[in-house]
Amino acid sequence: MDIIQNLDFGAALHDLTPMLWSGLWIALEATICGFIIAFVLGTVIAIGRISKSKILRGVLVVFLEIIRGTPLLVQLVYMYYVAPLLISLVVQIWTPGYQLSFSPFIAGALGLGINYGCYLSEVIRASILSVDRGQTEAALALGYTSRQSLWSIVIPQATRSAVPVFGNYLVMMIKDTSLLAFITVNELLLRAQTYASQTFLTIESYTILAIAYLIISLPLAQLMGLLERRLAKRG
Amino acid sequence: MAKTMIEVEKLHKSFGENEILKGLDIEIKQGEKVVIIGPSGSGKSTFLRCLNYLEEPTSGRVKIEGHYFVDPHGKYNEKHIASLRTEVGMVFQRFNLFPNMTAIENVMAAQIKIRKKSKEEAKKTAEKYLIKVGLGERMDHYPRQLSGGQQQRVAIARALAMEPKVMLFDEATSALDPELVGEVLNVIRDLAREGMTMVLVTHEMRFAEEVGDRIIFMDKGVIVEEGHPKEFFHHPKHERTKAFINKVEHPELLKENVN
Ligand SMILES: Nc1ncnc2c1ncn2[C@@H]1O[C@H](COP(=O)(O)OP(=O)(O)OP(=O)(O)O)[C@@H](O)[C@H]1O
Ligand SMILES: [Mg+2]
Repeated sequence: MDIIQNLDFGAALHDLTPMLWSGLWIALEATICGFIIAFVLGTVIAIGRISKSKILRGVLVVFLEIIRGTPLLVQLVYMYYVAPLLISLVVQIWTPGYQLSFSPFIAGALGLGINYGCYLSEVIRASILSVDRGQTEAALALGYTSRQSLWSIVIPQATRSAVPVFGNYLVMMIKDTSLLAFITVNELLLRAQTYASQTFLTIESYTILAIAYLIISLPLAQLMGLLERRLAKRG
Repeated sequence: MAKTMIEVEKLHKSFGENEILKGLDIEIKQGEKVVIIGPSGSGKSTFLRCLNYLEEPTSGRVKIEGHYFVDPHGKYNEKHIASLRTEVGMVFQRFNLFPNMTAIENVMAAQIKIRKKSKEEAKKTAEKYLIKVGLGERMDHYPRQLSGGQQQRVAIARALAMEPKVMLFDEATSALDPELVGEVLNVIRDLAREGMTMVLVTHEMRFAEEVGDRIIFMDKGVIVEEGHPKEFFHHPKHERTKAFINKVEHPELLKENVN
């Protein structure tokens, strides 16, 4: 009973709201940067995987297996603590004394981007392969090179089937930014955690945090559904 | 003496162990209409696709208006092949229109991207050819809003808009409902009359006889017999040709044989 009587959502809401707002901005920035990296990387990997080079395809498959076989959280920690050390070691061969470090935000955006890039590459690859081979042949017969046909005939059609899936990944990525708390990015989770430990308003802090995520992801998911239906209608 | 438009020398094509084309030599003159007929699987499509290098021959060479697709050392230069392909229009059995573009956009796309024409110029040319194939009223329709016959006519206009020197037709009417075949054949017939060099694969024997200057009968990757349409259809020399003509002109006999 004590617990219920002592609940103070008013105070928590009053204190947390501005903090969560600035945490939200960081989360959104990380999502935008992460998604851009993921999209570029995903496209590059997808095109590499349908290229003629066996070596390139092999290397990419190994890379994908590594990323998909390890948890995102471990990758983020690795990107923050280990990757800069490894890169420094390599660069030190040419430039003695070189020391690289990533800010938490950079490490976070890179980690999210690489992880999601691998999953997006599968989506992109599948949607490229789902475009009828006859489309490429028609383009080639008109005098397109295979690269021109890929970029101006196949990919625009592939995008239509990929965009709705992209939307789902975008919503997932926003939620996954909460993992950035573990590499000290001052996003929503870390702020709620800090506040809770200072005030002991544990129930209030984390409930408000959960609601904050819902407020972002629910409308976004709705929007994606709408987009999907519009695209489906245009056929 | 008309000049040579297509020259095929000792053309072989294999898929893995399977040799599909077994050494074809063909010369096609400017303005000539060559119709290729033959049983299913005899390699007609494969041959046609070698003429614009959609299929790379295993050996042998293809020349368009004196230009080889690959140089004598067999070096493969994609840019060169692509530019030679602009001289060879192709019409596919399944149309292969770009579904995300309207009829006129389909016809404009390659003019802009490949021929480097301005948008206005491309549009003018596209309108001209769409009107020519009888689709002046349907220019802003998407492929899915058009009947099969209309789609195939857009595909023909799209190929013609590149102003190719040769047109290849691979069973352009086989995917169409019977009542739509006529409108597409009319367009091809007009084109033939205007003097376009054409290579057609078709199962429409009457049409073959009507438009063709020369009929080539292919079976199992070789040319069994070729000749002037009258000669070919009414006095075929080889047993295989006779059997084939009989079979396509009297399909009901075939069914009885099977039963
Ligand atoms: N890309 C390919 N890979 C493997 N085999 C192929 C390929 N394309 C065609 N073939 C084979 O080559 C043979 C000839 O095919 P082709 O399509 O040229 O015949 P066709 O004379 O056009 O027949 P149809 O009248 O049925 O269209 C067939 O046995 C076919 O299975
Ligand atoms: Mg065929």
